Amino acid sequence: MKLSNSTLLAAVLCCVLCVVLSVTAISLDQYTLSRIDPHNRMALCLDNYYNLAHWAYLLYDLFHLFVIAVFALVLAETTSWEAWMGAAL
Amino acid sequence: MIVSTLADMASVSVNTFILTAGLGALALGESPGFAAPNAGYEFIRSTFDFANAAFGIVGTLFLGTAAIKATGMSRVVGWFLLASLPLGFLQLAEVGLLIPWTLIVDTWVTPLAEIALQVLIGTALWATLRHRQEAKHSEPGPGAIRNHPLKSRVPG
Repeated sequence: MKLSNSTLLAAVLCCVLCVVLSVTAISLDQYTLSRIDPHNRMALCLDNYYNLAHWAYLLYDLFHLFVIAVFALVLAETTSWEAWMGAAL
Repeated sequence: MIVSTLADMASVSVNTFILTAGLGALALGESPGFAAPNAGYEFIRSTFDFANAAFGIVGTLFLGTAAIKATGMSRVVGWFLLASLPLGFLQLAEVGLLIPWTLIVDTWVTPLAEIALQVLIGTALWATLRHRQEAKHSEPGPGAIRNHPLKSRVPG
């Protein structure tokens, strides 16, 4: 299966988005943990930055799924079954 | 790695949409809907985290093995995936724990490793794209043969 160039370009853009989302999530997490004790779950739950960090992680996972699938398909063009196994698991 | 990522998404979703909402309601003095919102959902999250780590280790191993057979940047991604395997075992060991070193793994080590992986995969995919473009420009099209100067001299 040969992927189109536009799919590859979309995957590259998703990689960039993943990096941006990861940096955002780390920054928001650290900002929250610098103000609130990590064991104080109730205070964390009421913090907007903490919730935004989790939304960033969730969106990261969504884009990461697409990137991994495309990367595995690119590998599967040349290499063997390990790419399918690795991507699936 | 898709199953692993789905398990991670499920864990984050339980935290974001159910646990946070329940604890937030409890903190505001409202009814959370259940007696102990923390206990049950923490158990569900731990299960998803375990699935994320376990499938992640096996998926990383297979994908890394496939990638090191390739050439160029894909091979670099493969070596990075195999080098990040110990981090997978660390994630497996820290499921359900909230102590200082697990906090560092969760908030620093894992996200930074993910950033490095995304940069490498992005570079590998970009290199593949560039390679395709160069191959497309270098190969002679049908018009090149039709308009070739030698063609008119061929007898017949």
